[in-house]
Amino acid sequence: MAWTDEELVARSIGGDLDSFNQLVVRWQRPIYALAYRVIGREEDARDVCQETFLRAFRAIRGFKGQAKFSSWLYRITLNLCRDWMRRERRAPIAQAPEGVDLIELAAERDVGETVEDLISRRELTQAVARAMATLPEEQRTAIILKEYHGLTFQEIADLIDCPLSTVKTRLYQGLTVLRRQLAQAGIEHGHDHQSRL
Amino acid sequence: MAMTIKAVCDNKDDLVAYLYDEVTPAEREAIKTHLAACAACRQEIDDLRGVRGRLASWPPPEPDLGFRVVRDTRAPARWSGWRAPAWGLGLAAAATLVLAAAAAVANLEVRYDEQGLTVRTGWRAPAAEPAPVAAAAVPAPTPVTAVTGEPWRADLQALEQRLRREIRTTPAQPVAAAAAVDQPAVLRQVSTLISESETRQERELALRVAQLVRDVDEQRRADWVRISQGFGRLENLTGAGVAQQREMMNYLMRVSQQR
Repeated sequence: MAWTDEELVARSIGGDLDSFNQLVVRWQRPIYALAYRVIGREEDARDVCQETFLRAFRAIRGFKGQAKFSSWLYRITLNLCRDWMRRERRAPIAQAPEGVDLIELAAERDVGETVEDLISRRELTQAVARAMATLPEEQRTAIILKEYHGLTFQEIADLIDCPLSTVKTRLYQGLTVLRRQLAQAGIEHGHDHQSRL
Repeated sequence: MAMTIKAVCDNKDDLVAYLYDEVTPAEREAIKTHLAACAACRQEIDDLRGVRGRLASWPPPEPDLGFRVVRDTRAPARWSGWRAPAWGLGLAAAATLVLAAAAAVANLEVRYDEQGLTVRTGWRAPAAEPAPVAAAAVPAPTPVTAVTGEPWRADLQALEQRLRREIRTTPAQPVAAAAAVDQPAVLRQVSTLISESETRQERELALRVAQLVRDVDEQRRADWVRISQGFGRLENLTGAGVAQQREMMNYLMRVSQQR
């Protein structure tokens, strides 16, 4: 039976290194994904991810369980990302489209996907990354936490220390800007979310 | 909850809450009712859903993340990951150390003056070549004044002499296996080998330094020739300009005299 985060945290506080490493294994990908989407650079995202766990390890005795362990990690990560952006004095990088390597593309294809479909998918990915990079940090962060990490409005509000209504406003504004940016990039509406009227 | 059409149209927070389905059942029903009647809000919610659909197509890379915390006997715990090692810094320090050691061993002296670039290497006794005139005019300097400009050299010599004295006076440690060995002969042989090795290194270094000096000198001469040629061209240009100006003055004088 897998331990819960709370149990692993309690064991880690008791000095069980393996328990902390289980938390690392469990959360390293979401933390990396968060850092990558916020700052847009793979290598720096890895550094932020590593530093997040290092800080968490050092401070684990001070973690009293007032929030979820994942929220605590997210907070550390976002602070590190903010430090990074302040230090680098730059917005997230939207990586430029790269040359298309057909062999590489063929290896990335999903089952039943044509190369043309794959190229379209990659272009879409790059368009989304570029559009996200244009957003102000607070809107981008709200969208990332909501869309990719499934946090509730209240969890986001607690995490970034702002009122609930501010979270909703940032989400609305961010999505509106993205809609405009994607339309300018010639990206039509997706069909993943069916109308639920 | 009483949610009027105007309230939903003006309050985008409600729309966002509905979009992410973080509403109570009553709120959901109220907004649904509104959307059925308001084309603008219906269009907006569809657009926002479309954006959400597109956001799903931005996966992060999947690097090989291999974090783990390991315990070290020297410290409470240390981090083991893939952070780039500080080998670059170490390499630079090592290179600096090697250069410094090489310069110290070779006793290099680099000087650039009106005589050009001069590189001298060691294995020459310091202050061993006093100019005959100076030696006659100035009282023989004491060892301290002779190295006033380089106090470390005197210290080094003193240290070297002390070490040599200590080595000579230190009795050989008894080694069981070496009882039958002729120690003075071995020492002489080792000393000879070291001496030969030093001589070879001296020659090689002297050769390389001579090559360096020659190369630098040739480069200096070539540079000087280029500079001289450049000045020559400038002078020619200036001379031509003066001649042209003089010709113009003469022409003006002629014209003015004719009038």
